Amino acid sequence: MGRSLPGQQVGHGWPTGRTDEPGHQALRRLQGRGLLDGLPVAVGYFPTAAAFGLAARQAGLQPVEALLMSALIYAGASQFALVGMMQAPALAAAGVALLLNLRHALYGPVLARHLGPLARRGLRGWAQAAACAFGLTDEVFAVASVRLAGGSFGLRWLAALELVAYGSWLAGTLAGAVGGEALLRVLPAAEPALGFALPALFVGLLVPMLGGGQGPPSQGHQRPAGLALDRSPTRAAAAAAAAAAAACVLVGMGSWAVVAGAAAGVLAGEVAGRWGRR
Amino acid sequence: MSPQEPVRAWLAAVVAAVGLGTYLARALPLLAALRRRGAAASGEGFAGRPGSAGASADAAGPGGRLELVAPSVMAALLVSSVLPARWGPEALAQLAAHLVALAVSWAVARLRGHLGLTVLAGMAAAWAARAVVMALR
Repeated sequence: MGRSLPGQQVGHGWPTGRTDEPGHQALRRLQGRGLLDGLPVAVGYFPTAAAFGLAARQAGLQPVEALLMSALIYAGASQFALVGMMQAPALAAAGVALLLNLRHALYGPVLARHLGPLARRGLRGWAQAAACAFGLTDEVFAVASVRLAGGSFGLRWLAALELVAYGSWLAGTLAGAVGGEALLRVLPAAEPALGFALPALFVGLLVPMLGGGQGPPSQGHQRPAGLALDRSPTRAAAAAAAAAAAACVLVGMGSWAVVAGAAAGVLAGEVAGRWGRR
Repeated sequence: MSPQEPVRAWLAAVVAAVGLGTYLARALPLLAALRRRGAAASGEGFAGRPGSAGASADAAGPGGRLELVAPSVMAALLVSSVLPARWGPEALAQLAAHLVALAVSWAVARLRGHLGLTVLAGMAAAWAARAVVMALR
């Protein structure tokens, strides 16, 4: 893992003298690439956030309160849950919202494997990693886990990606909360397309992991080396995760779909890996 | 609390608490993992560097399970975003459109391998499929 491409920075995103161009230009290029890679996430976030802004207004929240939720919590499932529990005791609403976000604890250790050198950059490196942790949503993790595994992108790329996604989330919330009913009249025509933006993003990220896709890395397709080498456990993990998530949704426990899917997937992948080594 | 107040104090407190909890759920595991890797790197030279022998060893050991987290989470997110939360005629129409769009975006991802193109193709297919489904009903 961690093969650097000509003219690109490796892992941590600081100039290392290992590129063919001045460090600041390489960093700018990485940031630009991060902004570009964030666009599919932003396209998916905007309508979702607009729907949240609208739901918040209909639940009696002021636009500034809806915006505060998006700015501080920045987690769609929790925000929708909070809005839906406006009449419930505050402690219960907060507890449910926090439970929904426990799955995010899975993401840090995965990304840390590709950000390892940061730990040697002192307080500044820790502060930057702590800042990037704020934007570690499901979709950002989905994009980052694929790109960072390629080893050619680092923390500045991740920060740029998160900035685009966060900006879209805030803008969507504001549009939904302020635009209100007017947005309802505009969105229905585009709703089917906008509603499939996030599923399409997940497809685009999952397929290369399973060994599909022919595009080179420069075309926005980066296959994680470790996954491409060992497809059978990965496919078993994805199939088990999909089945577990579907079961959760079908029995009305959709908020547990990701956690159950991750647990089932890792277990199935582990079993498939051991079976393959026998 | 007056309804004219822009932000109600109790709501601000709940939002701040949930925001802090969410941030800690994201940050603590990341920082702890970085700290562990930093400690391992200081004992094993360049073990923490991507592409190094240490990183490979990590992938083969406990980190091998971490490799499975990303595709598992992705598959779970995909399924839970495609399946409707509530069932009914409208949900079935949406599911049908989503399945067509899923097939199209999957095909584009396999054939072209371009993330942006996959998203756009999926969105266009979802729009077209929904229009066809609504016309047939």
